Amino acid sequence: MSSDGVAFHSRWDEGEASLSVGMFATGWQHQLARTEIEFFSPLQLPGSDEAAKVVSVRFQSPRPKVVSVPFPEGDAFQPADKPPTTEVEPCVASSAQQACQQRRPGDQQEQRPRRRTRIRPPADVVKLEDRLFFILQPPLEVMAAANRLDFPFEPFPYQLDGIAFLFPRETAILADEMGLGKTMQAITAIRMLLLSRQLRNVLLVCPKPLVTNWVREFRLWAPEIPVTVIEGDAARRNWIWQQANAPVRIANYELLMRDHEIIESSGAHFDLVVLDEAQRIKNRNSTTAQIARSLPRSRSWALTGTPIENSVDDLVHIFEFLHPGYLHTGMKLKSIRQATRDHIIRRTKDQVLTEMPPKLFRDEELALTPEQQGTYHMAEKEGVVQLEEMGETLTIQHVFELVLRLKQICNFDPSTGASCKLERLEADLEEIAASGKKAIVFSQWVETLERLALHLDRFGPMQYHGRVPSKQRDAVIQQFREDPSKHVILMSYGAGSVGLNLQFCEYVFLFDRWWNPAVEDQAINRAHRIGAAGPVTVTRMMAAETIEQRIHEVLEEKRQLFNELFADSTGVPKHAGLSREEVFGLFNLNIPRSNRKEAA
Amino acid sequence: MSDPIGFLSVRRHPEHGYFGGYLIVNALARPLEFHCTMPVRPTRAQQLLYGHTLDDFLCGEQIAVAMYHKAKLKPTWVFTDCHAALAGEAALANTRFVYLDTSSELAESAGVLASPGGRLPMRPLRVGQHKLHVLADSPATPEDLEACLAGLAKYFELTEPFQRVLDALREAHPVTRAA
Repeated sequence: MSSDGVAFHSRWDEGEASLSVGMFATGWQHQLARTEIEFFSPLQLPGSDEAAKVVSVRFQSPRPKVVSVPFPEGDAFQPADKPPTTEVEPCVASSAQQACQQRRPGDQQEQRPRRRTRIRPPADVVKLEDRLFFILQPPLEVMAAANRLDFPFEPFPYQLDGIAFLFPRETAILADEMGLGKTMQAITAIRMLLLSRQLRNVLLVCPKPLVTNWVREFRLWAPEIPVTVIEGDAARRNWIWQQANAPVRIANYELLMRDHEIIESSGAHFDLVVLDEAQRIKNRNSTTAQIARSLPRSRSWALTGTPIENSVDDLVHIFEFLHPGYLHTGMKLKSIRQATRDHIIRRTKDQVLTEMPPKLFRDEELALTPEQQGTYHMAEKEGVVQLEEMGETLTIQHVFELVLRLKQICNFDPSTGASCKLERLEADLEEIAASGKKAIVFSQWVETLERLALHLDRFGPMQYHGRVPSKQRDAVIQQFREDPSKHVILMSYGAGSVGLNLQFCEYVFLFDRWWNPAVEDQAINRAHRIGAAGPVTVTRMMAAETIEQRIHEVLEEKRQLFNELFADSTGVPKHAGLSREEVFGLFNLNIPRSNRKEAA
Repeated sequence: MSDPIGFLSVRRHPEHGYFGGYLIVNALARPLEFHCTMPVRPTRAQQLLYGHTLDDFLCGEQIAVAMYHKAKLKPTWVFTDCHAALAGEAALANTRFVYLDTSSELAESAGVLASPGGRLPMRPLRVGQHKLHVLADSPATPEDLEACLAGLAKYFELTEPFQRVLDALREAHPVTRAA
């Protein structure tokens, strides 16, 4: 018999058998040629006297090459022990608390985490071992459950994504829209890094009014992490700055400037510096920005709901803190998007909170009252003439002054007090009060708010602005929230745009417009945030055919710029903000040659 | 502290051959060791000699055993989502291989990386809600396995580490990423 490449010859007789084997050169035998081949012939069969001939073919397959990845010892979490006692104020309304599902997760230890939020390595981690270190970590839910990291409220999936984003990054911007719980995400990421001993000391810098809020949130979300607020006299602050083993220290921006020399002389080094409301450093040359950049640190995070307020340069300057030299002014928008993609995470309510009630915008173009109209046109006409007569001495400040004067007339006629906006506001508030709802009215002028308070007395107006002492402000909010006769709160953009939770209000009125849409958005988001009971109606009031309408058009361009940078569109806007040309253009003025280089 | 547990996966790429990954975790699911092979392509001789048992030979006797020996920790229980890898158990003393079908859970992320089927007969080993299999002649008993699983944290999902192994293979071998 024969088969491919091998011929077998056999002969069977009584009591005798023999087998001869022959090898022929065929296609697959070149593989055999490399191995040891032995021929024994003939083969001995049972009963025969001669030794059987055996053919042995040994194949020695090389073992696969194995690559091993070591894991550093001691990276396991320290167990989350019982919280230390901290000297903080009693817990009141908590933004991060509101930004989580308002249900307790039950006994988290007994639940199987069904969702798996994985930690992905940042793009700038190049070494394979380092990338695999992150990839092979268990999901965030498992890490938290394994290490008894209880959450007082079950985080939203997007919040876990935010934590997983921050965890491995040395430079990061958490730019979620206001009200989505940036505080909670940052605290939890810090907590996990501290417990896994990847961090030892953290410095958190925030605006002064938010310090107590951060302390409260740390106590809620990371009760076992000791938090030290940097405050007190110089000796005490000096001592605190020198405490290198303090896990979390919180300073406010003003104090940072005051203590700059102490920080330098103390030789402090921070494993992580977090800047809250990081738009504070959008001006590259400001003292705050310079001092923030000089802080010695290993990791840098920035938290802001408005990474761009005026132009993309704001973002470039925040990056000067995160990653000096990484971006530069004049970069094309497309390049900036590409370069920052792995460093910024931004989610909007529309994207992640599909169950959030809608935000409805009403742009009310109101015709000025006859009194306002007369005053306005006279003021604009005279103002423009004056500006034109200034010739080469005209500056942008002069133009701003005229803008402000005209905007004030749009609010109230200075001589008669007539106001088209007030008339409309009163009509709307009648309906709001009748249905037992509450509203917020924003203005940039305290005088306007005080004037409104007089006219809106029947709606129980509360006031919250710069002239209300800080110590009284919490009480104002509390009374507004709890007193059913208080239907409206009058707020300035400056005092009321950050750090407040007013989601029980269903109506927001922008009595006059701020210079940039980001501040307006922050103001609106006081009411439109997690926990909002129903749709939030935002009424943007503007006097028709006035400077307000012209500014509105510029603001819409800014909004478009922001959307283009953080959305998926690829277009590049023609204008990056309220340029000097645009400010002068509000009145069709020519820019004097002498200050053509002046920045707006 | 409970013994570590191994999660071993071998995936076959239609062009680049076989890729093995072996993750050892503790009872809290934290990674302790990871090993992966360079791509293994069967020779023509192996294909002819092993025929339809080639996957058992490569995945079990070759890849699984090589990774197991490379590891410092030697878990008693090694879970695998590759039927063919079970063949490696014969070469290892005091170690039990357990097959866990992850195809429904990892189908999307696995893409073209298939989990080779084996030829060795298996028997089911039902422990709690888990549908597990061991080799027909394996000495593993449900009681032994139950004792192993009892040492794990309650949130520990047996299929989850295989996703990590798959992701790590993709990271280590960019050619395996779907086009």
